[in-house]
Amino acid sequence: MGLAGYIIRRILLLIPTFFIATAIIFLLIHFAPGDPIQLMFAESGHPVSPLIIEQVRRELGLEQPLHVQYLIWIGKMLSGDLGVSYSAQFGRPVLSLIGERVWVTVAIMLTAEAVSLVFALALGVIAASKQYSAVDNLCTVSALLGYSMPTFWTALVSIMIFAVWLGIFPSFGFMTHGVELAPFERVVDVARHLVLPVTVISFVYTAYLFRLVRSNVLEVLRQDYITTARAKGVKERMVVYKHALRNALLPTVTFVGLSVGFILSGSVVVETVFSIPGLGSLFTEFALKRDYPALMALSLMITVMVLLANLCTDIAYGLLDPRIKY
Amino acid sequence: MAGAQQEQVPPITIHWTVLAGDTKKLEIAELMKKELTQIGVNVQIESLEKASYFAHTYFSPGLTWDDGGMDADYMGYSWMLTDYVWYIGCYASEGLPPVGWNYWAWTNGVADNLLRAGMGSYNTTERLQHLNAWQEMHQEDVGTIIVGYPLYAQMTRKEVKGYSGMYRAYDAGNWTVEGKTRADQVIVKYASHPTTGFVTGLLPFYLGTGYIQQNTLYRSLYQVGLTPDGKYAAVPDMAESVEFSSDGMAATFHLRRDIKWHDGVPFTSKDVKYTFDAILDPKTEAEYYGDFSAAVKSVEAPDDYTVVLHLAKKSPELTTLVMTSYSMIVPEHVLGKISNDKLKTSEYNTKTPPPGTGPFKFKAWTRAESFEVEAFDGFYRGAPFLKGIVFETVTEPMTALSALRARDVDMMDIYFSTDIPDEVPKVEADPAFHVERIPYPRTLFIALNHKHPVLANPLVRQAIAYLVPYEQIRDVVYKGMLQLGNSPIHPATWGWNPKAPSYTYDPAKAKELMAKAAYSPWPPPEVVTPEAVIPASAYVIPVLGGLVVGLIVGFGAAAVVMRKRKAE
Repeated sequence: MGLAGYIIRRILLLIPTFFIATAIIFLLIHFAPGDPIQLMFAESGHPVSPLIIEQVRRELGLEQPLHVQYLIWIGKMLSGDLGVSYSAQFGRPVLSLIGERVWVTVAIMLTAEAVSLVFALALGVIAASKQYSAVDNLCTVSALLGYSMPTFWTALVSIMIFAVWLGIFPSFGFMTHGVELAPFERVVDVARHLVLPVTVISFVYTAYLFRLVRSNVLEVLRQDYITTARAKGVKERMVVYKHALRNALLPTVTFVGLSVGFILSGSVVVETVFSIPGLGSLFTEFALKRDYPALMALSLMITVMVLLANLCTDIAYGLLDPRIKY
Repeated sequence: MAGAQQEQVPPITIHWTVLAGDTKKLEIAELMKKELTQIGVNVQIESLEKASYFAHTYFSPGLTWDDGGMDADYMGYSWMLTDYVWYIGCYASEGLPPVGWNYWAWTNGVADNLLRAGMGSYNTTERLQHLNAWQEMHQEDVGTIIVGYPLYAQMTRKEVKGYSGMYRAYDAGNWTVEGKTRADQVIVKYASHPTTGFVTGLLPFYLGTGYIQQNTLYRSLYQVGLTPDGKYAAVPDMAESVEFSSDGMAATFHLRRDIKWHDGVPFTSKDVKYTFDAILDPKTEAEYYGDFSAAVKSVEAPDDYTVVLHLAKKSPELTTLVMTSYSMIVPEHVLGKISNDKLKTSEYNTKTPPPGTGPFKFKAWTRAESFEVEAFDGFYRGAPFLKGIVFETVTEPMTALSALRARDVDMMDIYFSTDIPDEVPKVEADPAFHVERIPYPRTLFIALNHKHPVLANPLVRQAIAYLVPYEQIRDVVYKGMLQLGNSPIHPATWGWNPKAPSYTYDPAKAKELMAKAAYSPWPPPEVVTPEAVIPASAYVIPVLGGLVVGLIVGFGAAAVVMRKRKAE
C-alpha cells in the first residue's frame, strides 16, 4: 500500500466525518434558542408590522420542516451554493462575504504559526540543552507570562505602547483608508497593520509551544540511546539536533496540527481588539444574529480546515516516524 | 437561631432577564437582587444570550418567565429629539409587540386615553396638558421604573469644529478643522461604534445600523434643529414650510427649488412622492412602514414643488415622521425603474447607493471595515469644508480611544463614552482633545411585567421603585454619566414634565407599601422555640468520634502498607 494508499484511506475517511459534522452543526445552530427574523427587526429599533415579518420568513424558507431545510442546504452546498446572508448586506452570497475576509485571518494565522514555530523550536532546544541556566530560566519565565496574560489585555497594552506612546504602528484596522497608495505601498501598509496582532497571537502561542518543545527535548535527552550516542563520542550538537530533536518533534507536530482551532479562537479576541475584519469577528457577528446560512458556511469552512489540518498531521507523522506502518 | 431563618427562601420569586455580556444590566440586576430581599422578593438572575434575550423580552409580550417571557428587565429606549412618534407604540395597550415595544404589557386605560388625546391634537397647549397628566399617571402607576437618562460625550481632536453630537453627522456639511483651509483638502476620520459601524444596506429604507453614514449622503424634508429657546425641534430642510388642512387630515409641504441630486438632476416633488409611496408599500419591507402607514394614507404631488400627504389620523408629529433618517428622500429618476420588492436586494442597496442630495457623495464601502464619502460641491447649503470623511468601524472601545490618542482617528462616536465612562474625564483633561457632553435622548428604565401575578399590583411596583438605589447606580454603575429621571420623556425634548414625581431610595416606605398590599413582613419575626436549641455536646461527640475512627483507619492502613513493603 505505502504512503499513497495511507493518504487515500485517510481522505476517504474524511467524507463520512464531514457529513456527520455538518449534520450536527446544522442541528445545533437551528436548535439554539432565538429567531433570526425577530433579531433582524429587534435590532432596527422600530415597531414592525407582523405582515412584513411573515413575508420575510416565507422568503427565507424558514417555515419548512427542519429536515427539509437540511436536505435543501446539502443539495445547494454540493452545487456550490451556500446561500445568502440574512444579516449582512441584503442578498449578498455568503461565500463572497467569507471570501473577502478569509485571507485576512489565514494571513494572520499562518504568519503567527510560522513565527511561533521558529521561536519555540530554537528557544526550546536551547533551554532544554542548558537546563536551569540563565537562558533557560529567562525563557521559562517569559513563557509563563505569555500564557498566563489574557490575550485581550496583551493586545490593549501593545496598542498603548506601540501606537499611542511610540507611534510606530497603527492602532487598529487592516489598512489605511482615505488615501491612494501604490500597490507596493499598500503591501507595506497592510504589513504594518498586521505586526501588532501577529505579535500578540505569536507571543501566546510561542509560550505554549516552547514549553512543549522544551519538555519533550528534555525527556528524549534522558533516553538510553542518547547516552549511547554520547558514549560513542558523537558531538553534543549532533546529539541534540540529529538524535534528540527529531524525536522530540513528534508531539509538537501533533500539537501544531490540532491547534488550528486554538489559533482561530485566539484570532476572535485579537481581531475584535484590533478591529480587524477577519473570520473571527465575522463568526461572532453572525452567531449573535442567528444568521443560519452564514453560520453554516463558516462552520463548514472551519470543519474543512480542521479536517485538513488533521490529515496533514497524520501524513507528517508518517514521514517523521519510521515506526508508523501504513 | 435567627441565622437559620434568614437562609429561608423569600416567599416571592421573580426572574430578572439580563443580556449576557452587558455588564451594566448585570450590575443593576445584582443590586436589585440584594435590595429586594428586604421585602421578601427573591430575584433570580437569568443571563441570556442575545437571541434568547429578545425572544424572552420583545417577542413574548406580557408572558411571565415561567411561560417563556420575563418578569423584570432593565432596558433603555432612545427617542427622536422632537416629538412623540414612538410613545404610543412603547407605552399604550395597542403598542404590544410585534406592532409596538410595550413588552412589559402596561395596559392602563386612563393613561392610554391621556396619551392618545395628547397625540391627537394640533393645539400645543392642549397637548401639553394631556401629556403632563400622562407622565404623572405613569409615575403613580409605575408603568416602568424610570432610572434616568444617560449622558454621552463626543470626544474629538480639539482642531475639529462645527459639529454637534446631537445631529449624528447630519451636520457634517458644517464640520471644519481649525488651522486648515478648504484648499488643504482635509479628510476627517470618524471611529464608528459597533452599533452604528456595521452598515447593512445603503438605501435609507433599510438602514438598521449605519444611519450615521447615510446622514451625510441623503437629506429629508425636515431636520432636527435648535430653536432660540434652547429646545430641539423639527425645522424645515428640503421643505420650506408645511400647512395642515382645517380638518387636520391633510398636510401640504412646499419644497425648496434650488436642490440638485449628486448627478446634477434637479430634485422635485416626484422624488418625494416616489419615496413615500415606496415606504407605504409593504413589498418594499421598509423598516419605517409601521410608523409611517399608521399616520399617512396616500401621497399626492400636484406640482413640481408641492407635496400633499393625506393622513390616516390627526398627526401633530408629522414633521418628525418626515425628518428622521428613515424617511430620507431617494431619487425617482434612478430607483423608479426597479419594482419595490426588488429594492432590498438591488445593487443600490448592496453595492453603490443612488445619488443623494446631502453634502457628501458616496466614495467607497468595505463591509465591517470602513465607509468613505467625499464632498459634493453642489450642495444646496454650500460646498462642505472637508474634502471627505472616512468612517472606520472600531469594535473595541479602548482601541477607539487609543486610535484617537495616536491620531489614527479624529472623532469618536458618542456611544463609546458609555462603554468607557472612566476615561471621559481623562480625555477632558488633555488639552489635545475636546469633549462635548450631550444629553442624547435615551431613557433607562426597569420594566416589570404587568401580567405577573405579584407585579400586577401597583403597590408592589411602587415598593420596588422605592428600593432602586438610584444614586448608587448613577455614581458607581454609570460613574456619574447619568441624570436621574422622573418621566419616560427626556428633559431635552419638548413636553417633558418637570413636576412629574420621582422615586427615591426609601426601604421604610417600600416595606410600608408591601404591608399595605397585605404581604407579611420579611424576614419573618424571630420565633425561638426551646426544642430547636441543640446543646453544644450534640456536635462535640460525633466530631470527636469521627476523628478517632479516622485516626485508627489511617494508622491501620499505613501499618499494612509498611508491612507489605518490608515483605518485598
